[in-house]
Amino acid sequence: MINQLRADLYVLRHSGTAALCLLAAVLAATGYTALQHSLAVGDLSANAASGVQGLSDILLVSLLGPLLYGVVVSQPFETRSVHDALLSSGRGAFIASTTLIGALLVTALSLPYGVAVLIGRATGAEFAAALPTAFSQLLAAESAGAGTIIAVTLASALLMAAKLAVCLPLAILVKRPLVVMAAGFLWSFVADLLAGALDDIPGLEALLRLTPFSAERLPGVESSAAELWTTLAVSAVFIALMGVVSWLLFRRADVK
Amino acid sequence: MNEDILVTEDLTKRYGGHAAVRSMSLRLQRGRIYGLIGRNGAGKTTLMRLISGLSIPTSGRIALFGSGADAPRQQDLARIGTLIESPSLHGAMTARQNMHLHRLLRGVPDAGIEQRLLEQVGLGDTGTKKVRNFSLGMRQRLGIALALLAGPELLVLDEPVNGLDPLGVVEVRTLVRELAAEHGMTVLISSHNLPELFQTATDYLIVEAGEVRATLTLEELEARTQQYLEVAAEDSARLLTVLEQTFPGADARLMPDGTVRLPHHADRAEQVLRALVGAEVWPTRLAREGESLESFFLSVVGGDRS
Repeated sequence: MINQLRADLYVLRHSGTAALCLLAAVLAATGYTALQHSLAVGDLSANAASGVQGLSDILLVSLLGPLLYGVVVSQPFETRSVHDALLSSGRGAFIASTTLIGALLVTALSLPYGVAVLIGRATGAEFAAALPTAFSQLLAAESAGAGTIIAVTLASALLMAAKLAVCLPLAILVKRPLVVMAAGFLWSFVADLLAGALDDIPGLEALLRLTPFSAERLPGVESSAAELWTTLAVSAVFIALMGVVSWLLFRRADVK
Repeated sequence: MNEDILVTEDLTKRYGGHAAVRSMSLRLQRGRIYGLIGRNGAGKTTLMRLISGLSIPTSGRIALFGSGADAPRQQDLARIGTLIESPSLHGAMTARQNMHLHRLLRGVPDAGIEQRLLEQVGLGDTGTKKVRNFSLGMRQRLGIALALLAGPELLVLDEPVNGLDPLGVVEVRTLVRELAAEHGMTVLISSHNLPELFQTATDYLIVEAGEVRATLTLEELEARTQQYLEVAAEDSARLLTVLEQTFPGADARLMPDGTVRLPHHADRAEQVLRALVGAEVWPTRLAREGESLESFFLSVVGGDRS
């Protein structure tokens, strides 16, 4: 398992796709923060607020997260390094490492937004909450300290990674990053609609709360420490569960 | 002592209704080089993938390195090196970086092995050149180096000389022989190049339609494919005497049917005829016999499609 992780991290260091995705996240987070400042000081009209949405963490992670899950899973099959992985560490270790690396990468996509909030708040500049997202709220909430910003950022980032973790078993099945990207992007919106519908069905509501798709899991400025810990725990367990599903699919699958 | 490295019993792999491998029972021994011969779709690659844990058998047993298990265990698979279909390469990395990646994956502590193996396969000076810019032959060489990284006891090579120039083919042959002779490595190697395999392997497995049609040693294959001159005369004893006296190094052999075979004189029919006529032995038959590698292979697999 350790060998597999070290090898996966080495591949990650040389991955152009991962570097580009993270760079895109940094640029988007910077633009997102700058636009909300412009809105607050009146450089942009309120009508332009919808344009901010294009740079939001939700849109960016929904688009690039599935791509990264797809790349992390598919690349060993494309390069056939999965052959050596199965010989040296086995199928379980391969899936465990892929799940961990994939989840960490997708989590990392949201972190620039947290860093941008920290920097924005540190400058003392004004920000307008253009969107009902955690990062917009954090930017606009002057009462939020650094600790709160870091905790909400981590919870929000892992929650997004967990919601998109369904891409892991999908990637094991199709092994094509672009297909996973398209399906994952669609899923990120359908999942919220589904969750909203299920939330109204008695009995299923309790079950939904145990998943990252429940509205209760969304972290915000007002979230208590217990709520944030619960979000982190639910997200981590859901990612692990998707890892188990991936392993069940891969356990006896033929490898090309 | 003949130590079994791999034993398969009634090994079968089905894809839907098609059996790619059917009831294959094999026994590979340490330090031998096994040539796997078969047409496209005969089941060679599927067999290699089953042995390497890339495919799961539909039924049957695979025991590696003397284990009593019915399927390869993880610690047994770690003792195998493979090059199946195409090498495991990251195109955006250099040869050295690919070696480093696989060394991490295999948990090999000796960092020096990366350069040593690259030099062994003739890629020691590729520097910062990305693998995506390598020729097919260079990729194959790197694939072989990767397969050797963990010091495997069983090396599974699927068409390893594919794309190599004649010099590269000779180098791979020499390397494979050295690994078997000096390190006791068992090698299972497939190739469409029958003459090349004939010069490399010590044992042969001929597969067709997912079944092993023949297993034979190099000596047995040589005996089956040796060209010879077959001579017959009324007086077999006199015929043999004349041939032994005229061609002392010919290893003339009297066969049960009364004919005499000259194994090393398949191309010397004219000299043999002159010698017999000169000694007033009148041949009733003089013919070049024996199977070529290709014709023997076709006779075993039962077809005329090459």
